[in-house]
Amino acid sequence: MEADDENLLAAVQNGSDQAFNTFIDRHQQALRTFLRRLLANTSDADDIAQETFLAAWSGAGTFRAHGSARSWLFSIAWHKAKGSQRQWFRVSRRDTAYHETLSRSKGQDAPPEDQIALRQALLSLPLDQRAAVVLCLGSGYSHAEVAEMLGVPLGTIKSHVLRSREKLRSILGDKS
Amino acid sequence: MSENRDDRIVEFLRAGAPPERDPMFRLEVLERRERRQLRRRAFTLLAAMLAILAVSISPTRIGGGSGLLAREAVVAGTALAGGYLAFRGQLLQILRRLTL
Repeated sequence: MEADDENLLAAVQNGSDQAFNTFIDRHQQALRTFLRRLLANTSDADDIAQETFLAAWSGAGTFRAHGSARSWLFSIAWHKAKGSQRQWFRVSRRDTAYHETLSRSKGQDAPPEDQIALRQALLSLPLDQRAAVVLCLGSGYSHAEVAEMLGVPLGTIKSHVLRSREKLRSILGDKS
Repeated sequence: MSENRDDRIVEFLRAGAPPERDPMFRLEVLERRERRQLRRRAFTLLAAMLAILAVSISPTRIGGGSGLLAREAVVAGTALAGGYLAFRGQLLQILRRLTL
């Protein structure tokens, strides 16, 4: 029987490498998907994902069992992502990488136009709105869970998701 | 129609996910952890060495008549403290295994 996250984190706190490996394997896909959608740059996203797991390893004792481990992990990732966006040099790297992605996508095997338009629309959203829509619509979390992860009121999350969804739908509406 | 657009948005947000199990990513996390631990250990040992050096070359007499002995004790104590701080993670793991 697989150990649940609470027991895994308790074992991580006691220094178990096996538990830490299992914890990474269990959550890495969801975490990296969230960060890749949140940030424009895949390597930045994976960089922050790695830092998040290290923060979880060193702070395993701070996890409180009343919430889910994944929510706790996403909350750490969110704060790291926000911090990274404040660094000016990441802005220029992000823009460069984004434009490189766009120019590559115009060549062979280019994604459909609506995919490019959706990506542009998503990246034009403020970071907190982007996080809300990625977590609610992409990862399937409830508004209440996302509010707890991002540390904002429930009403704010609902408003973010509503506005962001309308913007993304309008992109598809224009194309169809 | 609107449901179709919502489905396409969800599909877009879920697309491009990394593989469910990615051993390379896990290795990168572990390597990063090792590098961080190594850096921390190196700084701790460097600090201990500097403290030992400072005490060794200090002209101040420590204690009463047995100044040299007291200085050696301080040097040894600093070395032990530095070693403990640098390797306490491993020491605690060994102690846990011995007491199980």
